Amino acid sequence: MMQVQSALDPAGAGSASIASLWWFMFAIGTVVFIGVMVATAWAFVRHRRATPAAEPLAFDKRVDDADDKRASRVVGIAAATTVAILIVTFALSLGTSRANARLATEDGAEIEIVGVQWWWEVRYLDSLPSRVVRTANELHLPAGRSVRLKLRSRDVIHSFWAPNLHGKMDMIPGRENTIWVRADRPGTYRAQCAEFCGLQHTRMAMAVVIHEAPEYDAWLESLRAPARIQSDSLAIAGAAAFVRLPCAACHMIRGTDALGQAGPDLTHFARRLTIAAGELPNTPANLSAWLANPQAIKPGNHMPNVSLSPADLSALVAYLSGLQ
Amino acid sequence: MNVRAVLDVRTLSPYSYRNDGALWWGMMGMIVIESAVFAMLAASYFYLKTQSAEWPLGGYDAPKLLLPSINTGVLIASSLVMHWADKGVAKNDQRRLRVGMIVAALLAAMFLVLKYVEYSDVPYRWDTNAYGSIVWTIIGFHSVHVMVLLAKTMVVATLAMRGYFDPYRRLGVIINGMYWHFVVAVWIPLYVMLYWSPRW
Amino acid sequence: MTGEQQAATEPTPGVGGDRHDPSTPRYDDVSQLHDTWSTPPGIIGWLSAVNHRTVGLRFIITAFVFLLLGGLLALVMRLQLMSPDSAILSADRYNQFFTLHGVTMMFLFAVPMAEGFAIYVTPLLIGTRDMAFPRLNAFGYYVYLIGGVALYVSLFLDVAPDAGWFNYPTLSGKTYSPGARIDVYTTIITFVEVSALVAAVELVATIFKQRAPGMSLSRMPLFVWAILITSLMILFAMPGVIVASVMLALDRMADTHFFVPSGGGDPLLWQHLFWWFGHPEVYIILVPGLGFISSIVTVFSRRPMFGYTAIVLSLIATGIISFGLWVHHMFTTGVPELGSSFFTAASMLIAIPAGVQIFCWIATIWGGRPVLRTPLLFVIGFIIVFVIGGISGVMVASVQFDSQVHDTYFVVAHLHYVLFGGMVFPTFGAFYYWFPKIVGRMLSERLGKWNFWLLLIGFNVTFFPMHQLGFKGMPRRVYSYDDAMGWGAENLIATVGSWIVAAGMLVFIVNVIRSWRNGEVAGDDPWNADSLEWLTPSPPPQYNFAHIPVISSRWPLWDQDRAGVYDVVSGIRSDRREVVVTSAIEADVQGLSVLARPSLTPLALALGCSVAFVGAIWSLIWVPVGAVLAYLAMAVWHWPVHDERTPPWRTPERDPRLDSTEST
Ligand code: HEA
Ligand code: HEA
Ligand code: HEC
Ligand code: CUA
Ligand SMILES: [Cu+2]
Repeated sequence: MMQVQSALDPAGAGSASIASLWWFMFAIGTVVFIGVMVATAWAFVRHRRATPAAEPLAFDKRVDDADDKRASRVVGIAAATTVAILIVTFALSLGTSRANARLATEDGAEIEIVGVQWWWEVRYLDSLPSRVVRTANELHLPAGRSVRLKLRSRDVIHSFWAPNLHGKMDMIPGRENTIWVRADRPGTYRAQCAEFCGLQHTRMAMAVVIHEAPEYDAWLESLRAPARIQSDSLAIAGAAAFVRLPCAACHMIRGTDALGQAGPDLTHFARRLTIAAGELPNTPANLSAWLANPQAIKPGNHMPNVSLSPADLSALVAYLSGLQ
Repeated sequence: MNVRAVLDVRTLSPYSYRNDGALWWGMMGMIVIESAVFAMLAASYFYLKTQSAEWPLGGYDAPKLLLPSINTGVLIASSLVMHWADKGVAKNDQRRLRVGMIVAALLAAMFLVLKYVEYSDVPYRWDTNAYGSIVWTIIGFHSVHVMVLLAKTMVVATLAMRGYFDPYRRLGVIINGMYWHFVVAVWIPLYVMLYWSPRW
Repeated sequence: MTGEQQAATEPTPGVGGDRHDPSTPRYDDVSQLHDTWSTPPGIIGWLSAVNHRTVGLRFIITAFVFLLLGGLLALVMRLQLMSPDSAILSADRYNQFFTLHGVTMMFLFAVPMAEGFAIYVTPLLIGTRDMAFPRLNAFGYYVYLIGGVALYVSLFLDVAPDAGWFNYPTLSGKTYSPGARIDVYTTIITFVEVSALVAAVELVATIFKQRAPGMSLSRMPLFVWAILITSLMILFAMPGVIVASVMLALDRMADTHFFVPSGGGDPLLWQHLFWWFGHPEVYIILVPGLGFISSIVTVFSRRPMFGYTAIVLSLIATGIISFGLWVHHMFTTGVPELGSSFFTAASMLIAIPAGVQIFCWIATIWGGRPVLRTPLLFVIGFIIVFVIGGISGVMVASVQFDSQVHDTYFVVAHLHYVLFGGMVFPTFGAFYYWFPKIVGRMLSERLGKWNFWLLLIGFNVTFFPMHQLGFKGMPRRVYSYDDAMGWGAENLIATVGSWIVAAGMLVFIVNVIRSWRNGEVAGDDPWNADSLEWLTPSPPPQYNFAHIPVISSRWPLWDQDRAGVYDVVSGIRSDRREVVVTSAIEADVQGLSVLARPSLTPLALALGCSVAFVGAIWSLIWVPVGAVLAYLAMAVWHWPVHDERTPPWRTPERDPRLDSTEST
């Protein structure tokens, strides 16, 4: 399903330019390292024959002045080379920054991602407030278009990082950070929280789905729709249970009486690939396990164990699984 | 090991009272540290200021000037008096030392009382907002320094009452004075920052 | 002075004390020196010890114990991460473990270990009998010990800090971290920093004022230069973290809003203050290591250091530039691009002094006749490991590259390469190098080789794969991971490596225990070294040197003919703790200073501070109680004492300005 993450297998313009920067620095670094090692080895080997290993540690006053002159010259050259390499590295690093800064465009779409202990709130912004759509725990992007990600936090510092796509950027309470990203290769990738944000920092991830641009537009449009009304009786029972039980206090399902803001929006929950911020694949069995005991699956997360009768549980699973 | 004495120090005096002795360096080290602490607090003040749309935060007026300005004068006066007392003991004028120390201490105490008066009247507290937090912390931290001065001076003054110091044995007075002048000197930029910079 | 005594002050060949009348002061009397400088016996004496070698050794041993404890935590963490989804540690425990690991290694191991060596060796290297403020020294140790023990007690009480060694708010604020854990952090950090500051002040004063006559700055051993720079850096850096900790404590206890956005505060303020300290901190850890390396390279290449001046300038440059780098830890916080480029440039700049020093060492080895004893092996280890870490440092200094690897195992790899390479390897070199001086016996070379190879191999096996993990997207500070992430193999290798490192540590412990009793006797100068500490017996007597040397060279033991005689100072009183005071730059003799004798006040003051600081975690009542205690201890401390063996201060034969107030 999700591809294994890698910063060196770029699917976006940002990580592509950074990966090439890396390969350059890796090459230079290797050369520098080998150079220093060879010099060190030579410094020792030069005396191999002259110095028997067991020789007592007598101080040798003779410093060969000619030797030292040569050494001064070599050290000088080495220092100058160091400076040169650093300048080149700095220039390339700056170049990469510039390249990634150029991803910004006038009319790019804007998506707001808000870090919450330990999940993500995602809002697809629009100049028309009524077209803004709030969802959670999954990010969809169009291939080939620059998109502006606005990163905020509701509680502590998090950091949004999709290695295949772009570098990371922190989500800091009280501030808004921005990165411009451009995805190039459609597919499903993984993003995760990179800044330590407490107990379940480890389990704060999500899928990043990259669509071909037209497909993306259609997908976004469909996301704006309210929750699907289901006719299946179990699902109807589930919908009732959802508002009867504490669920609705925390979760929003647009088009129903569930208006809670504390937890992830579940309007189109069934479309998601995962449950609980990348923790489990979204299958009915996993959903049932999650609802029955979220604290066992992701200890300490902010969704409490709600005691559910078996009937409620299966009704809720049916209902949520139907929220396409 | 054979040794040859090439340098005799028998007639040299103990050095610690001279002003570049180890103790002087030690005191300087202490002063560097404390200055760095005050500098960090000042940097935080300006950082918070630049991060905020309004300053003082919360729509308060910039702090009043009259009382704190007088009070700053009081503190500077205490430093001058302390200096005068120091010079007194250098001339072995024990009375001048005692009187000077007591007057300086009284001035410092007055500074604290006036600070108390001033801050019992400001409309914001440390828990009002970040402006209140940083102002109260700086004032509190500086006032604690003035209290420490008073506490230290009590010890030195007790010795002075017993006639312990004289022109040659006055390290205690000198070190006490150095720290005193530091606490006064550090107040002046803080005063400018706290009372004038919000008006800029 | 009487005419007779006046005559005795003429320089005389050979030096002796005037032994006759016990009521007159005595000079240069070696047997009396012993009494004057010894610590009283018994438990009280033990607690009142202020001698720099006693305190220094206590620092070294305590710091080593903390290395083992921090390492033990790391071993458990490695076991947890060895395989996917393991459950050796709960998330909660893991968070406490990595926090404590980082805090221990940075604050309780690396800095105090370097301080311990500095306190032990510096007075010997500069030819004096003790540090300028012996009681302050002892105070610093007690503060450190109490702070460190309190931190580990907190682990057992389940209130150990759990927000990482840099403890970012708002996570560490009271809303998201209720309870005492973060209070333990703010308290202990402040407390331990006080210890570092005290040692720094004292080292600066000692180095500037107590160098042997003739040891001008340009003749000062490179190790002493390194310690001087480190100490100055401490003075300017540590206040940052102290201010930050105090603000956080106020946020938590007094409802201030420094880091609370809703009250107009800013969590980034913490990051600026912390890294203002935190970046210099890593060089505070590195620079003493560079000092060890310089000492070892000189002695085991058997020639004067190539490029002494270049190395000194590099150390100074490192010290200064290190205050301009802090934002490179905050590249992903959204600092403006222009600002961050400045910090990228500064971070790359600092590679130049690092490189220059490495080149000078290599040139020294090349131009000398190196003897591959264990200390020099550790220098090789240092070069290999540190250069890899330095290069990855230059890489992460690039804003864009850092945006990929920041907060991943790539950075974990970088930080261990530089810390282990720049600090642990040099420290082990220093153990082998100075053990004979400290203990009087040699460490085993054979075990030393095992020690070295196990550490070198184990280290690289542990940490090299972590670079790869970083690219594969493994963030730091995760307690577990899913099998599907494909991180299993590298983690398994790393865990295996950590046990090889542990084996290396064990070999070292065995080596120390065996050699302490049965090692080959070292003699004064087993290495034929260049610097003053080897002029005196091993272990040195209580008073360090029977006669204070007069210096006329940068490599005194090499340039002053061994077979001949050593120039020394005469006329230092042996009936009290007198040391020679010299001028800061040229080290011309200026006078004498009388140092403090053993005393319980340092312990009392440390206890007073502990009551105030540690007590504050539970109740603010303890603050005034501790403050009063501390005040009383200070008053006693500073109350002038008359040394009963010293004639009243107005004795006629001495300068009347003689001040019997003992210095601090
Ligand atoms: C001893 C400690 C030590 C040392 C010496 C260094 C040295 C350096 N460090 Fe490192 N660093 C740490 C300890 C240290 N660091 C720690 C603990 C962290 C993580 C903190 C945390 O987040 O927990 C960190 C993190 C860290 C970051 C932040 C990464 C992140 O969080 O995303 C950065 C970014 O710029 C950085 C850069 C550097 C640089 C440029 C050097 C340079 O000084 C290196 C210079 C040395 C060399 C380059 C090698 C020798 C030179 C030559 C042989 C010449 C030829 C070389 C070239 C031409 C390149 N370090
Ligand atoms: C000088 C500093 C230093 C040193 C030496 C080490 C040494 C080690 N470190 Fe450390 N490490 C840090 C400084 C250091 N570390 C810092 C600053 C962090 C960041 C923390 C944070 O994120 O907040 C970190 C983080 C860190 C992590 C990342 C944790 C995470 O992000 O989740 C890991 C993971 O593998 C790790 C592993 C190790 C290992 C295996 C060693 C080994 O090399 C340890 C070797 C030592 C031993 C193995 C001890 C040997 C013990 C015995 C022989 C038994 C003795 C017996 C008794 C005591 C009875 N360290
Ligand atoms: C106190 C608030 C709260 C209550 C009550 C609550 N939840 Fe949650 N829920 C959350 C939070 C917070 C999360 C995110 C947990 C995480 O991933 O860290 C969550 C996650 C979920 C998810 C996974 C969402 C996703 O995007 O992957 C589902 C499904 C869910 N809850 C359903 C329910 C149901 C059904 C109920 C009622 C039985 C319920 N919740 C009650 C707070 C709550
Ligand atoms: Cu959110 Cu880590
Ligand atoms: Cu740094």
